[in-house]
Amino acid sequence: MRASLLASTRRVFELALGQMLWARRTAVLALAAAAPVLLALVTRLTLSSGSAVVQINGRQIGSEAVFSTAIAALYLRFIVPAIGVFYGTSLIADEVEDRTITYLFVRPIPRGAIVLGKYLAYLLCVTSVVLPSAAVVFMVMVPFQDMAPQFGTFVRHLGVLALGLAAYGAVFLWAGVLFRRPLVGGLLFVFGWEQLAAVLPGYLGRFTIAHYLQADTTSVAALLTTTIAALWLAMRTIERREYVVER
Amino acid sequence: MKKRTRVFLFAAAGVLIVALATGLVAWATRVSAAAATDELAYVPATALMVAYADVRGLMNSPFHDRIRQLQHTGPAAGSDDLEARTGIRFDTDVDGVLVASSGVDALQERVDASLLIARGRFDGNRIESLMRSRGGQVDQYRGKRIITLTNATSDTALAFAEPGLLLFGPQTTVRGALDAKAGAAAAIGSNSEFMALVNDVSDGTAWSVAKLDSASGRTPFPPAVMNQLPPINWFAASGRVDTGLHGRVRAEARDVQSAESLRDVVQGFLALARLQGARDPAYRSMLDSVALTAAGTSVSLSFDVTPAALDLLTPAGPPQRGPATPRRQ
Repeated sequence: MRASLLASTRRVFELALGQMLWARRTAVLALAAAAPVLLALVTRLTLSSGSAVVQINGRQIGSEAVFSTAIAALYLRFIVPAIGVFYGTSLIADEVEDRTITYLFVRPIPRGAIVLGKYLAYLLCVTSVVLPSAAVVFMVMVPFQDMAPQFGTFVRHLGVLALGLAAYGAVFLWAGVLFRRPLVGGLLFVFGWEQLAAVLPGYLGRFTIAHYLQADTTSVAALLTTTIAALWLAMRTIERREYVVER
Repeated sequence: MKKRTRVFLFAAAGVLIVALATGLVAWATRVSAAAATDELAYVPATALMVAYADVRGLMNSPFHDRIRQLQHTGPAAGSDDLEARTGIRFDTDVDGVLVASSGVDALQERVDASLLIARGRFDGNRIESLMRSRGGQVDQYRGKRIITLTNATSDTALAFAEPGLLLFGPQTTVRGALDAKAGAAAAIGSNSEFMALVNDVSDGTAWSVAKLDSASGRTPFPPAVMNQLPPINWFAASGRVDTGLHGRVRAEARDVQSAESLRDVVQGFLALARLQGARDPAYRSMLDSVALTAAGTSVSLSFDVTPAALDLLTPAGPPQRGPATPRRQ
């Protein structure tokens, strides 16, 4: 008898979360999340001591503006897409590569539950590292007396980070279900196409995820739609696809 | 789920909650501080525009000294007239001024005169006797002393709302302000959307928030002006003054498309200004400091007038060091 999708998803989620959190890959993730915190500490100490000032176009930039820049340049441009590619593509592709996918497929659970459970574990794992990292950067960079006007922006940034992780993860999970070696394509998409489309004139930017990493209704709707669509396609693909495990 | 996994997740959630709680405390403290501002408690919820200036902060700022040097003028024009009518010396008696307007009736084009709330040190007896000498009548309303001056050309009232706090404007407006303070009418503090914008800009030495949405049939500016404006719902501006001026203007457009159009228009004006001011280092440095950002329906423009830019604007160049201007206490 096949277990229900929900119960199976929960089982896969619990199993995958433990594996994911204590894997070597998480150490890399922790390093990626710790780097902005260290950078924030150094910047704050430097700015507080007055030994240096950050200037753009001759205009002095305060620590709160540095926080917004860190979120835009470090997290949204680099950390979130990179995590999405590395984790998303590996969720299923690694099981195929390690020839362990068979053990999951022979369980009396819907194949879609494997995708969904692993994806939810990925989402919890990466948000529990990236969001606290951004929160620490906020507390370090923005003085308490300046926090009030920045608080709304901070909450929006957290939401965008979570949605970005969800969208990139879902898209690359689908890529991992579709292709045998999706990492190279994923890296090309994120650090090639997305960067190129951002500087090209016209509407090409709309065919990237990075374009929608903003806190407005259209962008949130686009990210949610992308996430749900990619997740559904990944579940549908894994249900129908034949995987040939190489010996 | 293993124990170490649970511990990790709780720790991550803890960090996030601490950051959110800290931010929330900072935000709530700020909200309550703004809501507790006595001046805002007198502003009725029907106000479409509120503007505030920390007069003491402005007058005591090095920036003000530089502007005075630049203009080579004495006291601001009109201050003598105010002194003659009310006995109030604007530059020494007033610490802060808040102006609130309920706007213009879009159909009748009738301007509702604004409410002016001033905090400072006022000689009540002198003000009262001056207004009495011009035919003013003293009355009591909600336990406060109101002096009204009503004739064919004028309908003015002045109320001593609190020690050091004056309300000035048309009689109905002043009475409405006292109603709002007494809780008999809704005050602007109950308008969370308005207050959110006020809280966003109220750290400035001077700030203003205006609701431009004409859905209510009222607008803060005359229809002739409103017709020239792009579709904007809200407008907020703030300026922080120290040795220089740091200004920020924010407009909330009706939709994303309007925001993009507005941004394009402002960008066009900036390009034109850069073209015009390219040869002048003073204007060029000011224009270089201009930052235009658009996110969703919000378009923001910030700029700095630095002391160096002021030096360039002053014909004689940087000021020579000499005796400092006496500061107001």
